[in-house]
Amino acid sequence: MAVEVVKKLKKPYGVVINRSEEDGDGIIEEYCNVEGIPILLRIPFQREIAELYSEGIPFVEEMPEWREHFQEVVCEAKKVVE
Amino acid sequence: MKKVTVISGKGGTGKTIVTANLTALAQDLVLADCDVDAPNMHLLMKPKILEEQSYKGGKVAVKDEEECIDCGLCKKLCNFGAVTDDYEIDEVKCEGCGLCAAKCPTDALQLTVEKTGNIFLSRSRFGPMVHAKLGIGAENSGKLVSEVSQKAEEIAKEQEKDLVLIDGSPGIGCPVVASLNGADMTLIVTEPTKSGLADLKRVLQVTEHFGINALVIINKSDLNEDITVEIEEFCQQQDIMLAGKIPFDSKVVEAMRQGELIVDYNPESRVTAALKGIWKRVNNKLKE
Repeated sequence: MAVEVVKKLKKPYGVVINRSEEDGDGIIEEYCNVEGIPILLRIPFQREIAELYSEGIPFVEEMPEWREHFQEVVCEAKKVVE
Repeated sequence: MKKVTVISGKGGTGKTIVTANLTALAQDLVLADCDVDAPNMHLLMKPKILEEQSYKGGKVAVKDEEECIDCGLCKKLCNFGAVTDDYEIDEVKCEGCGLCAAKCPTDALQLTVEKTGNIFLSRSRFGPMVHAKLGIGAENSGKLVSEVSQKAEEIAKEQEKDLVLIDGSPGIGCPVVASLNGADMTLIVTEPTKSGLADLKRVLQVTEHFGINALVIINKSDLNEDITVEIEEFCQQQDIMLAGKIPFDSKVVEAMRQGELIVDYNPESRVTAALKGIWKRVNNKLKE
């Protein structure tokens, strides 16, 4: 549904999989493959992330390795927009 | 006949899963999916569609080619960028405000009601189900919510069902207000997060404003025990009944991946026990 909206609005788009798990991503991967939609990022289904969020803390602040992943996505997006 | 609406304030709290499982526990009811912007209930319920009706809600400007003199005034006036370079109306961008129609020097533009969605009258294994699908980028979802909720009520009266259970939308906007119309009780599904509590407080202002009896369900309650306690204390202060707490369990995720309900998939789990307790308390409260 969301893809239909952005298609109609003719905006560039990509997918971020939230609460990603290896054995659960199949249907999303298949759909994105068929539609040719890039998967930009997978945020794992992790209790630590959920707990940080529950306190209102962005997990990139406490888990620095994720900072880089997000920066990559922002760069990617900038490239497409500019 | 009682009407119960499940809402959440915040998205992602598990409202639809809770509603679906309560449906299985309640049995013999009419279920309505009023989350028309993102309807998912049919994925869990797998209902058989018996009848499909088209729904006309929003308005859109329509151009009469013969009257149009290509003056371009409509394009200049439109705040939504809905008039293309060759002066055609982009139906997705058009908000139906009517400014172009009012100002058009040759009356070439007119506001017309457009089809904005579909309503489905279906049957699930727990009884009749009414659901809908809003067209892409369509507006007036509140009106469609009212229509779905009304249809569910009509069916309940016809078939003498005691309960209409409504899956509402997240947030506090127009579709939520529409789904609360005529409700005897609302169940608010929240989660122990800072935003969960903040959005609970906001949505409670809505239910209080309309004088609807609200019961709170804390989902994934063991995710943050401190905030769960905070929510419980808040409810106690405000004299709001807690219908129950549901612990986080990966079995729920597993069940959902298989498109199944936790009460069927894992009837012995703590989540199923919690849901049964909630349904019992809700049912008792309805009988008061």
